[in-house]
Formats: sequence, C-alpha cells, structure tokens
Amino acid sequence: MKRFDKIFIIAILSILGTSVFGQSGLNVKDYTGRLQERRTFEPTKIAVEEARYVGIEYITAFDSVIIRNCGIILQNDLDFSPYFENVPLDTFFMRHMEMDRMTLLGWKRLAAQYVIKLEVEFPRNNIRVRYRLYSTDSEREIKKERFETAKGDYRALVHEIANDIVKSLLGDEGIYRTKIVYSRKYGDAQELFIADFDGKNERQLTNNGSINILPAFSPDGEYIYFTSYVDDEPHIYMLNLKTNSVDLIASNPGLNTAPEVSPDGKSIACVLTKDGNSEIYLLDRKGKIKKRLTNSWAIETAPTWSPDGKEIAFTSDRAGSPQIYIMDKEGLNVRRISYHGNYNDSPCWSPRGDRIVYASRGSQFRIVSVDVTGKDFRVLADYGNNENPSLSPDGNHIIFTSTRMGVQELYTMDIFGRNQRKISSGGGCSNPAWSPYIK
Amino acid sequence: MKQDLALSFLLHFAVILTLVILTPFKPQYKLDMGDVINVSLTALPAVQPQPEVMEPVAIPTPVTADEPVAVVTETKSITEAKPVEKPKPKPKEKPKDDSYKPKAETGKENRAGLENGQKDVSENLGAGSRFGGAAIDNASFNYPYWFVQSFSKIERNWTNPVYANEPISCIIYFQVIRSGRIIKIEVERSSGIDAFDSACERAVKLSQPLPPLPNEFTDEIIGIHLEFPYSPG
Repeated sequence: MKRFDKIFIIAILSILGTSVFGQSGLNVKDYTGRLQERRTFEPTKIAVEEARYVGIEYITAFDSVIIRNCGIILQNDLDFSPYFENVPLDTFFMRHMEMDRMTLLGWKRLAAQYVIKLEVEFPRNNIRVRYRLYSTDSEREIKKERFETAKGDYRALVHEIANDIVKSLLGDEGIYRTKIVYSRKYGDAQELFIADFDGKNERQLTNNGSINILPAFSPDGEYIYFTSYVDDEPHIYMLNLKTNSVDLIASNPGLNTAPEVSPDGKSIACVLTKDGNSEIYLLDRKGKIKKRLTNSWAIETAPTWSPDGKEIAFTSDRAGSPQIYIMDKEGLNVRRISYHGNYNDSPCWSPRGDRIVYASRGSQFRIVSVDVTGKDFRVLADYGNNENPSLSPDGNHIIFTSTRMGVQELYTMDIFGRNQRKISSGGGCSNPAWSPYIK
Repeated sequence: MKQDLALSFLLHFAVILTLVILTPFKPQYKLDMGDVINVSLTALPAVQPQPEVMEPVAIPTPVTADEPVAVVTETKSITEAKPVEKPKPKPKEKPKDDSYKPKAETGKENRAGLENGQKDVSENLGAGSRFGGAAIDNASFNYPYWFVQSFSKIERNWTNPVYANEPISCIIYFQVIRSGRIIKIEVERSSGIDAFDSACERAVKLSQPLPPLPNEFTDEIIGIHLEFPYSPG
C-alpha cells in the first residue's frame, strides 16, 4: 500500500511537472516598444601619448607649449565622447616596470585598446601634425594621417584629428569642429557669441548694445537666426557668419521670436503675437508668413523641428501649465508628451530622432529627456537651475545653462547625463544652440 | 585497581612524551599565496617590432613645395602617399594568421555555418559579447580592431523585443563598402519570430555607418554573417 502511495505521488508530480515546465511549442511574448535587455556598454579605451617634436629646426618656447597642448586637446576631445574613455599615463606603472617610455604592451597592460602617437613639426610657420593610431591587441598600426594648417589654428587641426579618429573607429562624423552660439550679458546688453564646442575661441557676433537672444543655426551652419530688440521691438534677424552682415527677417506687430529653421532649410518655425496671442507660425526664408500652425487661447512657444522635418515639438499651457506637445508640420495631430513636473519648457528634438530633451521644473529646473511618445522619462541634470538644452548634431551631447555654481554658465554633458563639464566662465550665458556639422 | 590506573596513566604519558620528543622540530605551516603570478619587474617581453614606427629615421624630411601638402586655412587631411609606407613584414604576419585559425576552429563553434570562402571571425566578438558567432566572406580581411568596433556598435543598437521560453537565433547578412556604409541587409536565417528578426535587422541598420574599411585592405566590399542569439532566463 505504501509503495502504491509513492508511485501515485510520483506519477502526480510528473504530470504536474510536465504541465508546468514542459509546455510544448514556442511561447513568445512580444514586448515591442519597451526597452528590454538594455545594457550599459563599455567605452573604447584609448590612450594619447604626449606629442613629440620631429622637426629639424630649433623651436621657441611658445612652439613647445603648442606641442604639449596638441596632446592635451586630443585627450580632452576623445574623452568628451561617450564612446571613448581616456587611459591616462600611469607613471607609477612605468616606474615599477622600469620603463622610460610607454610601449604598446605597456599601454595594453593599462587596459588601453588603442594608442595614438602625435608627431609635430613647424614647416614655414605652419604646424603639421601626423597622428598614428595603433591597436594594442594586434600590436599594429591601424592608420596614420597628416594634417597641416597655420600655426595659430592648431586647435582646429587637433579637432580635425579627433574627427578623423572617431570616423576611423566608430564610423560616425565627429563633432569636434562644430560651434556653439549663445547669448551673453555684456554691460547692460545681451550680445551673441560664438565659440568652439568646448567653449574655447570665443568670438563676439553682435555689438548693437541691445538684447539679442534665442539664436538658432540654419541647417548648413552658415546663418544664425535670432531675436533682437535693436529696433526696440523684438524682431527676427539673420546673421551671415561669413560676411557678418545682419538682415531683418520678421517684423510683424508684437512679438517675433524663437526662430527655428526646418531641416530642409526652406521654412522657419517661430512665435508671433500679431493676432493677439502667442502662436507658432511657419515663415519662408525671407520672413513671409506661410501658415499659422497653432490656434488656441493658450500660449504656444519654443518650437523645435524633428530631424525628418515632418513634426514640430513646442511648449503650450493649454492644459493649465506649460507642457511639451508634438504636432505635425501642418499643425495637426497634436499630442502631449510631458507628464512629469508642472512647468516644462525649451524642448529640443534629438538629431537622431529618438528623444526629446527639455527643461522641467520640480523644486528647480532640471534637464530631462523622454522618447517621442513621452515614455522612458530620464533626469539628466538636476543640480541648480538647468535650462535651455540644445543637442549636438550627432545627438550624443547636450549643451545647457546651469546656475549650480552661482552664476549662469554653459555646461555640456552626454546624452546619458554623464561627463558634465563647465565650458564657460564669467557668467551671464543663456540660450545656447549647437551648430550642425561644419565642413 | 589503583595500581593499574596509575600504570596505564604512566604508560600513556610515556608514549606521548616519546612522540613529542622524537618528532623533529619542523614548521609545517606554509604561507598560502594562492595563485602566484611571477612578474618580471625589470624587463617586459618585447613588443612585436614595428619597423620605423616612432624612429626619427622614418619621419620624412620636411616636405618640399611640390609635394602634395595643402596649406589651407581650413584644416585638410593629407593622405599618406602609399609608396612611402613600407610593406608590413610578411613573415611576421604569417605566424599570426596561423595562430589565429586553430583558435577559431577549436574555440566557439561558429553557428552561422561556414560555407566556401567564408572565415569564422567569432573570436573578434570580444569578451561578454551577446552575439553567437560571426563569419566573413572575405578570408583575407584580417583586421580584428574593425570587427571589435563594428560589432560593439551593432550591439549598442540591439534591443531584444521578445521574451521566449526556448533559445532562438537569427543570422543577419550585411555587406559593407570601403566608406563603412552598409549597402545590403537581409535576414539569412530567420528565428521564426518576426519581431526578433526585425529587431536584429534594425540593430544593423541603426549602426550605419560602420567604421571605414582599413586602407590596406584592397577589396571594395565585405560580407558579414552575424548571429543574434536569444536564450531565456
């Protein structure tokens, strides 16, 4: 009887086991649209050796500073990318290995996957830099390239080398020759300034003693559209970066502001109040009104184009508080995408098309991002007041303003919110805009 | 009785004393060092010599005016003239190839299924890679760095949208031209689940463009078979 009981229990268990664990056929659940199995990636570890002078003539102390800076600028550039991690020179390692110069194997032991060596010379008052890119795994040279330019432009030359390395290793265009334009307090006025992506080489663009704000690049990077109070009224102007000439684009009654050029360069989305209420309009490049896109009692502002030019994200307080909405370029199919915080503004559509970054107010303004359906909410910068985000043309970096150090300065970070760097000093910076790729 | 007990006690004591005295004094403790790796602090193994890599001899003398060095306000790249570059020492490349192949054969079996002219490049997937295997049509393409960079870029863009209770896998075939541009993507072996196949295809599409093919590689196009596996749990 006991044996029968055992057999009976085993039989029952085996039947249960089959039904629970041994389902026949493939059971598939589709979770399309949700981020599954997203893993953090390991950035490529890259080492940049100190640049070496390989010329045959004597050089000045100034030249030796340039040589040293070449290596430092290249290190900073590559470290700026979320896909690279700089491997610093470890002198402790060298001392213990009794090495006076790092070898490829030495770099490999420091976990570097690639090593860059720079050779500098100064022919005819120019600077010529040759870089050699080595793989430490295969211990062989992958690429070498030589660049030359006027000595004063050595920063641009090193940025070009960084672009070339990014192209060789990632296949992507580098952003190291891109520019940023921003508004800055200058006495009682606010003038426009332009600088390299890292905040260096700052140059003043406007000098009219008035308020110049909300700059935006044209898709070819040759023009800057901005709002100026130079005629006492807020009008939209276009600045030619090559000739420095300024043309009036829109001077309708009331407010003319927040211009954003479409990716095809044919239209300008902007905010006008000529009909009494702040609405978004579509202008042609000469400033002629093509269409009114929004039509509500609420305030609509801060338009930003999707990279395919088919949709526009904007801020509206039609729900009682400023929130981010998307509409197509005809002004139809409006839907809300921001649901966190009671004050959301300054949307910027990623050039990759997948995310929208904006400033959201909790206790303070912070930079957040969502996907284009409003899901996957991520806080990227939340210390101090962080506002006015603008994305780099590769969609990997964000420039924004922050008061975390007291005064309003420009900061950059990658799209994951890491590697936050202050790139301006002196305070009073606002409304940064990142240029497209500059050829 | 008491005498017997005393005798027994004395005998035991004598035996223990004898054992203690006769045992030679030798410490039995050995410092446990675990797995010791001997490191030479004085000399590193020699790196594979790179001829004229950073030697001043290899640096070309200042370029003369008729050399194609463009002095421009905009920085321009000057592609190195190919003849200047000394050919890689072939005898040193060869043994590398030889050590390369057995690894591929004895290592993880390429589930992509090799056909004529294809070469298993699974060992370039890197540690912790989520891919199951990889093969290339051009057997002469021996640039591990290119695989590492390309595969990690595709992996970054791969998001699995399905949950299944059985292992599945999909093989994507794609072709890359010199500039790194992907010109053809197709599902070579379907997993049987459309959502999974299209996610794998999308991962390759989103990785456009891949790093350009190395200058030394002379063919214009390469074809890659990449396996995207999924295992439950």
